[in-house]
Amino acid sequence: MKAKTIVALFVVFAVAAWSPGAWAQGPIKLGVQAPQTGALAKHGQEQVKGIRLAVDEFQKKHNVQVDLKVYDDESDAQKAAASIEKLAGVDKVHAVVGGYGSHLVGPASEAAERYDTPYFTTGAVDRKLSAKKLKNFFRLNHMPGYAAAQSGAIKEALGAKKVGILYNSLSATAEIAQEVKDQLTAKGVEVPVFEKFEKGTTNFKPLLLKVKDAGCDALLVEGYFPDYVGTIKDAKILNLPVKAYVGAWGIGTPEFVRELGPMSEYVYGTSIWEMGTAPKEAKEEEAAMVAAYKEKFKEEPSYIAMLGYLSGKYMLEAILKGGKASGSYSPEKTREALRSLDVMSPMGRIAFDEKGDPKYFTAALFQTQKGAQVVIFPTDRKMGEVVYPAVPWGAK
Amino acid sequence: MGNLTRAFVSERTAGCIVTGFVLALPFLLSFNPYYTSVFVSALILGAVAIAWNLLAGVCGQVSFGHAAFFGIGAYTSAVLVTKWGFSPYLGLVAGGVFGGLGSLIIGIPAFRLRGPYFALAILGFAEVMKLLALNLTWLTEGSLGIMNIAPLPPLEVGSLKIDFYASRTTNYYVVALLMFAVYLVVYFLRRSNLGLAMSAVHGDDETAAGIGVNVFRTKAIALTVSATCTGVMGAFYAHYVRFLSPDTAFDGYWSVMPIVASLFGGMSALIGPMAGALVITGLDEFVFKRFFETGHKLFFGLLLAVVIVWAPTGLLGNRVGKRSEGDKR
Repeated sequence: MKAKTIVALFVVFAVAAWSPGAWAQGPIKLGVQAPQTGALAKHGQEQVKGIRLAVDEFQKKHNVQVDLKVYDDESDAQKAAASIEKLAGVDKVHAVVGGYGSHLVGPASEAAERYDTPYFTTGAVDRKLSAKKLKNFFRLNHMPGYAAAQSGAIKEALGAKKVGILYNSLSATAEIAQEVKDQLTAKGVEVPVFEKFEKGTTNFKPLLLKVKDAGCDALLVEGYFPDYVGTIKDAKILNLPVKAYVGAWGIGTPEFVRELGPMSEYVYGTSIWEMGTAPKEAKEEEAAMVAAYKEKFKEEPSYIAMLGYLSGKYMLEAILKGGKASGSYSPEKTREALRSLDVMSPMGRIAFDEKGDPKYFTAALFQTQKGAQVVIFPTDRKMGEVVYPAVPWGAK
Repeated sequence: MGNLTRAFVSERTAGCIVTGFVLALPFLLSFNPYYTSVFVSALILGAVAIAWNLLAGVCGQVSFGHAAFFGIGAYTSAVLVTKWGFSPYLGLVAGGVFGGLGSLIIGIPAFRLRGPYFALAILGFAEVMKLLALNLTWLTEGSLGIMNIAPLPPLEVGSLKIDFYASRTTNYYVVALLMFAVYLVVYFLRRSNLGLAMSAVHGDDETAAGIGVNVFRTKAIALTVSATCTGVMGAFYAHYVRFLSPDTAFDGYWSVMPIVASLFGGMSALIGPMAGALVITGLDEFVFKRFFETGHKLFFGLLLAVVIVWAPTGLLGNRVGKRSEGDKR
């Protein structure tokens, strides 16, 4: 009886040791702070989906268990900092990814710094975040990269001489408007109209008349969906004589095309990534990610999901690389591994400067042509030729 | 009948019990930094709720816009510290002073109004303040917000250094101290002749005027004290969270949640709003969130509906501070 028990125990341990659940190395604890409820919930949920996919792939690839802790910051600054207290202070995670909105990432990244925990975000573009030079702060995208796509395309692809900029007074749109204006001015493009409007504005005619009077070649609207609808509608009424209509984000997307139909044609918009926009070196990775995402979540990945995926992937790789080097996971080794990263990804080349900002980040500028998003800038991600001059309310 | 109306505990005893609980809470939570930070938020809310209740529960003037005074206090301190290099401690005082001054701007015209019109006027004032913060970009950084606001500087008591940057516990005890200061202000004010005048105004304006109460002055003092206390808490919030934007400083949360906490805890007890803030935070954190990770806020509404229907005086309403006929002051 005793021998039987010993044999049974041996078999149980042997099976456990050889089962697929046996991991090559101790578990990596990865924390996620992201809005799952509140105003930013949609973005935070997509971000988390991308991170979950990255975790699945990492576990399969490296046979290392990842203990993923996801906390909802409820789109609130205080809760964002509290989530980090929980992740870094209580759960003792090795690193944190996520964060959406500069007002949430600011307090959260500071809390992560207090606990000396690497923090990698994909949803905060405010310049001031990296100005603090926190040693644990990293991000995949920032405002100058968005602005570079717009100013670069306006100067190089369209060759516009005068640009009118209208912008929503909210923080992200106000910041990108100022950044684009500065970049355009530096490139020798005139910006005779630079006007702010409040959220909820429905009558844009007075502002558009200023653009008309100034003889602008292109109209740049840094806003959100209702702002694009309002400006395009009023531009049609005024038959605004510009040669191009450029928006910031959330324009020209499939939902946008569905809502506006023919009035979405020829508009330009910025995006970090859309299906098919990866540089040729990363086409394979893009296709694999999209296929895996569709299989797991039964939907197409958005660019936010792609960002979440990439942040999860590179953070886990960095933790593992640092761990292998030192024998145990440490914030210092993880930071070193992230700083030495230099790869081509579906959103372009990724490497970080000393402040944790992306060195090479540039969004892509696309034009809606027959309902599809055709990337026209930067040239290494170009998918087709620009149709210029052309605006939704009639070719000029 | 006397037994039914007799209070279970006096206001002072209730205050001591809640004080003891607040002081012991970090020990009960094993100094867990996450839970400590959650209850820092609860204490800020509790202090604002006590201040709100001075105006509504004691003086009978309901405000739907305390976010205005919270935001003014927060911005005052943040601007003074980040732009002009003032000490954050001075910022706390200035936050209170400017919160009080802001209340006079709206109070003087708004006290001509009664009932819901007064409440709506304050709500409108909060929106105006938010728009000002949004558009005075040279001062407030507009919608981009003020980032990197300095934390409270460390205090050195002999060889002991009290740090407010790294430790949540020190922040907890500072906000607890501020909350007790607010409570004591309200407590002694209510026990003063002015407190009696406020109670008279709460009962009926005209009757109060008939017995010689200066109704306008009484309301103005109640609003100014309430707004000053709220402004101080706003200033503390700015140095605690270290980021401020018009949306966060003038968030409707600071107008609505003090009302919820007061209704839940009981408006007739001065410590009721504080108890309400602690209980709703505890319930949310330890009960609702456990079962409903993303839908837990729904329970606030349900809970509030239950309290209003079945316990309209709140948790402590009938249990604190009421004296039976034989009791003497």
